[in-house]
Amino acid sequence: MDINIGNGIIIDELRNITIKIGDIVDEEALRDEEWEELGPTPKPHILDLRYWDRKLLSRYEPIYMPVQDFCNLCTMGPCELTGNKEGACGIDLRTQKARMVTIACLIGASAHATHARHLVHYLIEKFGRDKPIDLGPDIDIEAPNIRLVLGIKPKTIGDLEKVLNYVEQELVRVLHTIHTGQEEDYIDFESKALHVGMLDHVGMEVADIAQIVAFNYPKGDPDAPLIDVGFGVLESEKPIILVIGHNILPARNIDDYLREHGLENKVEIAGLCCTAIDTSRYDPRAKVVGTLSYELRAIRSGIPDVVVTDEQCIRADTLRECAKMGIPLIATSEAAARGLIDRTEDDPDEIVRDLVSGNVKGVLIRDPDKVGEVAVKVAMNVYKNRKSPIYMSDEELEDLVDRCTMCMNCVFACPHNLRIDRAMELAKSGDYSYFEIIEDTCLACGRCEQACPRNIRIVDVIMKAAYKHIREKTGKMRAGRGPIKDTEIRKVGQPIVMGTIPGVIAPIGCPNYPKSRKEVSEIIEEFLKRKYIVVTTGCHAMDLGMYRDEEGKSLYEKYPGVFDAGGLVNCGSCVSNSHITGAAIKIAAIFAQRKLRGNYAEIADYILHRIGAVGLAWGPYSQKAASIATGFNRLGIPAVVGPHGSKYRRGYVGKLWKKDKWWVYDIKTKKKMEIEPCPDCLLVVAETKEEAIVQLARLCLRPGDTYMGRQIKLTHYIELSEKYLGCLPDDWHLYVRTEMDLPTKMKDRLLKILEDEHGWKIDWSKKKILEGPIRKYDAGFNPTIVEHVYDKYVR
Amino acid sequence: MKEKIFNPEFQVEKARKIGPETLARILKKRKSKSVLITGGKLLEDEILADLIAELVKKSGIKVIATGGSSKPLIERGINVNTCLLSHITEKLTDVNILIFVGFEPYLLSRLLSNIKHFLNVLTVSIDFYYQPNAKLSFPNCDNYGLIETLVSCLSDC
Repeated sequence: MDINIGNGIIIDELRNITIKIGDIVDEEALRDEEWEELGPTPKPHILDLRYWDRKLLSRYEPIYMPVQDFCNLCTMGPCELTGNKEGACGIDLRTQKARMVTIACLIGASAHATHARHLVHYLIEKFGRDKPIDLGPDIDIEAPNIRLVLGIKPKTIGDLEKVLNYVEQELVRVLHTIHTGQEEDYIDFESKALHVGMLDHVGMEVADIAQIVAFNYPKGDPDAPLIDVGFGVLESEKPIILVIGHNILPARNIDDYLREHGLENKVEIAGLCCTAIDTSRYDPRAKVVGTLSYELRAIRSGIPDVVVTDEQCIRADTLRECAKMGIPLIATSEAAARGLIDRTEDDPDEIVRDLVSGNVKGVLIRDPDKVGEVAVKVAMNVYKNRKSPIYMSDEELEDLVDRCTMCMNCVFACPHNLRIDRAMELAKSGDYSYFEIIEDTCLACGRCEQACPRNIRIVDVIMKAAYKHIREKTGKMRAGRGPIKDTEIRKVGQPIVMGTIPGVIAPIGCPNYPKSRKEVSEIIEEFLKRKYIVVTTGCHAMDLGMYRDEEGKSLYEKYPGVFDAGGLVNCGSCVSNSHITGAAIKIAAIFAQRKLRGNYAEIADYILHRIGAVGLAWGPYSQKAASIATGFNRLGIPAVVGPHGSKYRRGYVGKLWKKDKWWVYDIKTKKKMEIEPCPDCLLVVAETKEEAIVQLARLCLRPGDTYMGRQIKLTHYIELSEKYLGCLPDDWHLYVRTEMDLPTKMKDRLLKILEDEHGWKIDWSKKKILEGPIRKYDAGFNPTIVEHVYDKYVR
Repeated sequence: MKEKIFNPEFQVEKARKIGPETLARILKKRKSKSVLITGGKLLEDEILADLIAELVKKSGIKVIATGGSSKPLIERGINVNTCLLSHITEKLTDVNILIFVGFEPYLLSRLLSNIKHFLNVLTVSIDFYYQPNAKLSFPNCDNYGLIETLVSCLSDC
């Protein structure tokens, strides 16, 4: 309850009174709260945006692809749900799968929110609550997701605590709904998943803003430094500290310790996963080994002198693997204590002695500051005894290959069913080349070794056989630059909304690719050449830097880091995904002058109908990727996932033939009208690189495109379809509103097809479409599917 | 090849294993209600693409080509209905036998799971790996033998 005391109160002659005071809001803060008109849904609870979700999910129907036919979450089961049967609690298969998706999103969003909490807690201790949030002169909208969802403008790191209080409360509320015997409507579960996805982007924004301002990362700098990336960076004549995970704090303190002690040129920090990206944002000398798929490879190489783990995507056998190689491990997070003794309070030199002597395989140190000293001292001591050769000798390789009986157990265990048996067979005759092909797709998950009845160290065999190949895969990645500048949005907002910049492609997420890691680069370069904007983060950002062209240049060296046509923007780590949604939100705010504050549905509706942005998670693996993509979806941004993404078990796919689903209110004509079905999916799987490229181009189409924009987008869509699918797409005609939408070079051919195959009437003397399109083009078309938005703007 | 299931899952109803002769008989009787759905493996496997092209020519079955598999089939003179995976249900009117070939096994398993639980059609996998979520599936086969036999059975029809 808010009480306005006004002119003050007098308390006299009162005893035994308890007064509890929550937040004290001063007059200046109250004035600041009037920075923008408050929208209808500040700090939305679970049901507050349900109306928006139901509109989305009415058009984009959830489809489910169960991995198992059971539910076994409670003791009444396991319940068999084949054919959408109901279980003991009454839940049917479809709703159970929606529940599982909600759980996955909760796991992902909780990981980011807790990461943010760890950072904010630490930074408040170090810098105080009043450390200002200042992202530089070109960024006024410092926190678009927070403004949009919570309706507040965070000014200090202390304000971020309040944001996290809200996020955590909502996550727990959704978690509560998962309990047995509650929700029975799958759409309501999906609405909860979408709610969690939205919260995830808020949590990520907190985390990234906090670390940018506290650690002075690049603040939207398109010329952020180029960082060495690739497995080859591990080869060094210096002690190497390998940092793994997603939380910068331990790695940052290692870096500080090195600098404070003049050791920055004597010891190297190399990283895996997002810790690597964030360390390189802090110090461009830090090296990026690669994604999660390099973890086992890096440890088994025996090169790291000490391994430091923090949180999230880190193998659950890291201690065992390090111990086999004699590499000491320092765990630093409550999320992964790894059974180790907590040595946080111990003398650093004692810990170093124990780790270097091998008395202990690893330690848990919860104080990031102490980790810096211990890790550096351990690395410098262990380095003296680094083992060689890498992986194994040539003789051992031959011996292991000879041991293989080609039973194919490994092939059936492999997530990609890689034909390891064939590689082994060829290797027996001295030809190891097939291992290079396998290495390029292999995740190094080690499931093959678990299945091998002859105990062959298959991952090591692959690495040894393909070592020359893999060490050459080093390139450059532009350091994560953080948010998109408001000044950039001012420049590109209009061309994006008009469609003359044909789209924004956002390759994000993990490395569980269906084929070669190089495919991500191939997909993305196709769009860079065509002057789309590419915005990337996380594992995809790393892999885009790994491959060089004939001239030895990686994509980051070939394309500028600006948020503009043909630019390749690396925002940073997983939590930097919030800047991608943030950019879409800013376009609505800056170009279209829409109010953000607590106004989620209006902004999402604007983005869905006008901003041709699409996410690409070509190698989705973790639950975080599920929640990130779901957050994209609630904001009206579609996402394409690679084939492994089908294991998330659901898609959001519109049906072209259900014409009653494709409608909007046109604010200009005051009519409810049928529209072309674009974008027609919010979450969809593509099997191959070829299919993904065509799908991405297609999902950039928006009802709000001008005819120039539609012409450009259709040109790319049709060209790419003919290039990769060998023919015209099956639905291109649906997106034609006027002859001006048609690609100029193909106009006659396409008009003829419209007449012959689709029965459209064409005036050939003027090359004009007379009849056929779903709707006519109208330059003033102003679509929305939200009633209160229509009421707000209609005159 | 081992009687194993790729990426073992937990299914109650598992596909009945059939040979090419059985499928040839089904196709002979119900070709007009059948469709062959092809996946992206055809892009990387020329032998498979040749075989499927031959199968289509021999059987006259309709083809829905996903994942870019349209390109190698068109190049081999096959008339295909090209579509993205997201559009597949748009193409399934008037058919009730869906035959799948050329997919990543883990992806096909998901597609078949969706159909098994939520649609009432007969699904058949003729891919290299046994697919438990189909109604009917070829067993594991390390080579093109079963598809070659299917093609020759169709020639005899």
